[in-house]
Amino acid sequence: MGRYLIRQLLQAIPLLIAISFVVFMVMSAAPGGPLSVYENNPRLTPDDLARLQEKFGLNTPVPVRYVNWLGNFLRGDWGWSISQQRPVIDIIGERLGNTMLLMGLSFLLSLLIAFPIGIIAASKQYSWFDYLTTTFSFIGLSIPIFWSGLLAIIIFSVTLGWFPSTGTHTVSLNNEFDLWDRLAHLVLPVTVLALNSAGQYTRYIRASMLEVLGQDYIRTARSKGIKEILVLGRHAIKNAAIPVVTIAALDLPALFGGAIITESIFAWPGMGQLFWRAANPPDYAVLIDLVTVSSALVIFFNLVADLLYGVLDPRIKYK
Amino acid sequence: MTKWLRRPIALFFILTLLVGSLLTACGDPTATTAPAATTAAPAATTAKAATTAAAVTTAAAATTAANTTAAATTAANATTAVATTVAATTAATTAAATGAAKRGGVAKIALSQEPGTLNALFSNSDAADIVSAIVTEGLVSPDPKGDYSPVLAAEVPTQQNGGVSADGLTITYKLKKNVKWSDGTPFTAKDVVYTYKVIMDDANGLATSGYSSMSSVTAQDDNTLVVKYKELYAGYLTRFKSILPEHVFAGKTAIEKEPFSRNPVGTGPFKFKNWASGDNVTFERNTNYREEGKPYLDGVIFKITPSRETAIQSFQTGEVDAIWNLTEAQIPQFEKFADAVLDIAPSVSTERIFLNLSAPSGDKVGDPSVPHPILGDLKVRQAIQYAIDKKIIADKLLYGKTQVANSVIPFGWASTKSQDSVYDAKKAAQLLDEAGWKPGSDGIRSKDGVRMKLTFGTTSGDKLRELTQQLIQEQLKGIGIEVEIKNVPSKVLFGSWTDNSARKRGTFDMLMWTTEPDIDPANHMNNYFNSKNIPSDANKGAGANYSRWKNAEVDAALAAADKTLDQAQRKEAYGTVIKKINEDLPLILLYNRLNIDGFKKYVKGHSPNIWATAWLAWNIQDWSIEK
Repeated sequence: MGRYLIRQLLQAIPLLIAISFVVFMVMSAAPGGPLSVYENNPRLTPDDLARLQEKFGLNTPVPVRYVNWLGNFLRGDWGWSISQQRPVIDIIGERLGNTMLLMGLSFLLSLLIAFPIGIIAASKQYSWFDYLTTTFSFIGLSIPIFWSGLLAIIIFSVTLGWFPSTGTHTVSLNNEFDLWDRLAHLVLPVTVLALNSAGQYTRYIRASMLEVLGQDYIRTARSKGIKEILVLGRHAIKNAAIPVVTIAALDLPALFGGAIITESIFAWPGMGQLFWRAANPPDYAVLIDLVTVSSALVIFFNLVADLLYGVLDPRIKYK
Repeated sequence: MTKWLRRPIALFFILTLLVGSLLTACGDPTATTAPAATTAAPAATTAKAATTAAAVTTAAAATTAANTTAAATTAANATTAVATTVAATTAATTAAATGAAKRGGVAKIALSQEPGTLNALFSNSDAADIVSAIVTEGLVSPDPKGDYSPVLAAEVPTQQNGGVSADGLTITYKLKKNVKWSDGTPFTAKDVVYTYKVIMDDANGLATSGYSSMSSVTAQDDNTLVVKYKELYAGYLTRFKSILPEHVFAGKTAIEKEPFSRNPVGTGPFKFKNWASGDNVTFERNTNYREEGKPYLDGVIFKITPSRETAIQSFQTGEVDAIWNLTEAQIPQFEKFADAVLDIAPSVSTERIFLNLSAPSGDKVGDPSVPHPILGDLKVRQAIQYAIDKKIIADKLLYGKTQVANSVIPFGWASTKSQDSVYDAKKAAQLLDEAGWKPGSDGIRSKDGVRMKLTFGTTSGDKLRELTQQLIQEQLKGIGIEVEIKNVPSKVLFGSWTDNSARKRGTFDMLMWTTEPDIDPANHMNNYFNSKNIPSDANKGAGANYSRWKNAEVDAALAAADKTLDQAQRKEAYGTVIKKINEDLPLILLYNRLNIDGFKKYVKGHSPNIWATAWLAWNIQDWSIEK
């Protein structure tokens, strides 16, 4: 187990370096360049631009810039955002909390919805509840968020006026902390996000429960006279959870990366919006850091999923 | 391949693919518009339209005061319906302002960009210009008519009032007395001297044009500033647009990373309070503001929204009271709101088609000495001008809210109006006949084996522009010119010389985008029309004379305009250039883009000023909330 972990972590290093290198190269090849924010700016003369190039070290060859960037990145200096005129790490720090709150809550909510519904639907296959679940989960995962989000806003904010549509809280001159106000702002984005992923999880849980429920050991458990709830809860769920864990673990990097569309629709000041804003017009320092960290997290959570298999199913051993 | 290697390699590929597709998606701003709204997909893309349009403009406007026109003057000069609408709004709002305005209340303004800094000198976006401008002021600034009016200066220095020396090299500013910074410290001429030092400090990497022509900036006394120039600088009134407080920095001049950038102190009507990144920037009344009783509002909150669509949602739910910079396509939607009012003003930004006068391909590509096989002929350019019905574009695609453009300097003190071009397809066909272009069996003309086929490009994904293109394509087909539409993302269209962008290299026939002069048009006019600014190997692609237009008279007029500080003489020189453009047609002007801000009816006192760097917030001290 320990050796396996170390080997996986060591493997991740060249992988990450390769990814960051590719990303860096692709971005350097993109038209525009970091100073494109200043293009067409009549106040800046070509001389001014040349001075800025010098100042930001853009005259050095791309590979040299990559090595410099990597060195700084590892030392915790994540670069300077030209468009926001601040260290990238400060910008990320400010937004990470908002995103983790939004994504964490919707992640939890979606699992809370998906697990019971998926399990019940599987245990009562072909019942009306099962048909209802299948239909609604399919609808839930097929409706794109940009549509359901807008619909939610039109119905619950614009027409009914129950919930606010944008931001994390109502802004006022004094900005006092108001818990209810914060919660009200969370309702729509969290629900929209959660319903979407709940649809997906429900289907996985139902399918994998069905598979497990057909296994011999479940029949044995039932024939021993164990109560159905224990059969499901103690014997079936653990095994059925394995594929779901893989899916869920791969969704976890979004806790950091945020949801670009949802955050844009609800004006949620999180990482997804940051990524979107950094993309147009391009803010290279921010983009490259976000992509690198997201890649690292995908690799990390993959590893977490691997380790969780071992916990859920002792037959899986890692050497 | 060993088993344990497979997984990381697969992961690597997946991630690279993901990242790659993400980046390509981001590469095209229009592609990424989708999330904003789907039900309103076309609307969403059009929304971007203006942004892309703005991309040009934005960058320009970002720092210059390229934005807006005076409603009032527009009303006076312009003969279109727009003018009346605007006049009506302005009249209504000023009426409210002159009556006793109500004190109190907070105005919430939606901005679809986030400022990068609140230090006005380092501003690199429109949002930063707007937000920093309600704190930081300059010596003089353009009023809605496009004339200069004093802000921190007591009067605008001119030769008549003795502010400008006979040789034009010494400018003396009299500053207003009893002006205080928001922290209570008195404002003096020393602060201006300090600001000059900041601009000239290389560590800041600021634009120094104009300032580098100064030999000295000195405070004669607390209220008298003397600026000496090494050489004549015609745009002297555009300098010192933002003055910083010396005492806050304790004499330090390398200040880009100082906390001031996120906690500014200024002389403006409002005082900085709080900045929640990605969400809002909050200001409260500056109790030290020099105008008695103003501002009327207790505070101003800029709410950052990811898109205009989100801003409109928040406007509908009452979460914001005003929206900055709507697009033309959003006018019909907004006019349906019973509690809303729009400030619409045709701006100096003019949508135009650049015609390439040089060889678009071959060894001498982009070289003006080799004329374009089709567009090199003046008669062909005239025919194109006659064949395009600009009025239809303005009336149908822009809802009749703007006017057909006829001058590259449409408004302001330097403006010279011309006649609108006439739409006359018959005359266009006749001109082509005269030039020897004969229609073939498919109706497309040719001459000496050259088929009359032109490519026509603009920023992709821009609904308004695409519709305009289709209209023009149709109209040119009518006179026997085949037009092939070839659009590229704005980043590609506005790419640099080293990116081999078509406009820089001259590898195009017709390209359409928006650009505009500053309140002082010197930079723009020289950049776009002086023959020395034709991008070439020799100047490493600098300059913006994309049409590759060489006209000795124009070069001479542009030089003359830079050699005097007399506004009347300069206006005359630019008038010559404008006349020559309309005769020689290196470009075809289509229409003036609109400057559109939306307000709730209870917000009073606002009016458009297309020249203000502060955009809609230029007179925020006069706003009030009358609920």
